[in-house]
This record gives sequence, structure tokens and C-alpha cells, in this order.
Amino acid sequence: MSLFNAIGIAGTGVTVYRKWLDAVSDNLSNINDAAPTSGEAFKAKYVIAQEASDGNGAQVGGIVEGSGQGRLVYEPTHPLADADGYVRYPDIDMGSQMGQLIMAQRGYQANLSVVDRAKDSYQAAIQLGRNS
Amino acid sequence: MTAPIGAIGAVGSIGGILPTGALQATPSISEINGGGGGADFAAKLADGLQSLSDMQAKVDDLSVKAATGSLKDVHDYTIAATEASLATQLTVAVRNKAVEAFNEIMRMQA
Repeated sequence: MSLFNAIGIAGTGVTVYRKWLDAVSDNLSNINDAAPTSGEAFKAKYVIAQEASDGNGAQVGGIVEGSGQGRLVYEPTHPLADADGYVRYPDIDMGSQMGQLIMAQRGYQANLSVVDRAKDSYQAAIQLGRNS
Repeated sequence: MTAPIGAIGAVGSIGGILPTGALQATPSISEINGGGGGADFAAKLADGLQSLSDMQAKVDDLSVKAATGSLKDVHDYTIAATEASLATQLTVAVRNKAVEAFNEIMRMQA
């Protein structure tokens, strides 16, 4: 880990952004989940990124769940509808999720770029004085 | 594990050759042997080879996981492979430098 430290540190960043991508993909795939009004709607998942406990890179500190209250939608024909014709849908903003998707993707790519550049730099150092 | 880089640091002692103007400054053979630098260098070299071997074992493990489908993160494998490749290149570079120095000494003649 510490011999080629930049690569290892960038790797922890890649892992964090991979988990963020997972969370966004989970939120988007459940965005149309219907629940009876007596139960809770799907809770959106939000990744908490923080500095790694050993000081080298980043880590996921935890997953925070959004509200289960959701929003009530009038759909009397829905099999889960209550006596008044309402079902509960999760209150997830698709636009916000798409924005987070782009940020997670770009962060993932940025960290992979660091791995690539660090590899090139270390390689240049190793080849120092080879043609003397 | 900073051992391999420490081994390269030992090359810095070449600087001791520079003050050739003052022959008195040249250390005697007993001084060189008494420093224990040789044993230290050998230990660091062994440490470096051990860490290279560990890295390659990790890559082997991850590549088996990739083949069997139990690999969780793709980048875990590619990053470990990159690190092992760099460590191998570093080891080969150190080996080449050592052989080069040895050959240089073997070519020495009066």
C-alpha cells in the first residue's frame, strides 16, 4: 500500500464512487415502487463519504436512508390501494438522482485517471537513468 | 513497506567516492566491513523481494476471484495488477543496476 501510495489511495476513491453508483442505481430502480398507505415507501439510500480511518484516501462512513413517508398518489385501480384509493410512492427526485449519477461517474473516472497518471509517473522514476 | 526504496537510498553512499582529491578521506576496508552496511542492504533486498512476492500472491488471489465471479470490485484486481507490475519493474531495475555496477568493476584493468 505504501510503496505505490498514490495508486492505493486512488483505489479507495474508486471504491467509494462505485458504492455511490450502486446507491444511485438502487434508488433509480426502486423509484416506481408502490406500497400500501399502511406501510412505508421505499427509502432512498445516500452514501456518506469520509476520510479513511487510516488517513489514506476515502471510505464510505455509512448509508443514510431517506424518509419512508413518500408521497400519496390517487390510484383506485391499483391492487395495493387503500379504501380511499391511495397508494404510497417513494419521494425520490429523478433529476437529483441523475445529477448524482453524473457526479459519481465523473468521480470514478477521475480516480482511475489518478491511477493511470501515478503509474506513468512511477514508471518514469523506475526508468530513470536506464539509457545512460 | 518502504524497504525497496530504502535499498535504492543505499546508492546514495556512492557520493562518498566523490572527494577523491583527499585520499585520506577514503575509508579503509575494515571501516567498510565494520559498518554492517552489507548485511543491512541484504536484509532490505530480502524485504523488497518478500513484498513483491506478497503483491503477486494478492494478484493471483484476485485473478482467481475474477475467474470464479466472486470479485466484488473490478478495480481491485486491475489496481493490484498495476502495483505488482510496477514492483516487478522496480525489482528488475534494481537488479539491472547491480549487474551493471558489477560488470563495471569486472572491466576494471590497470
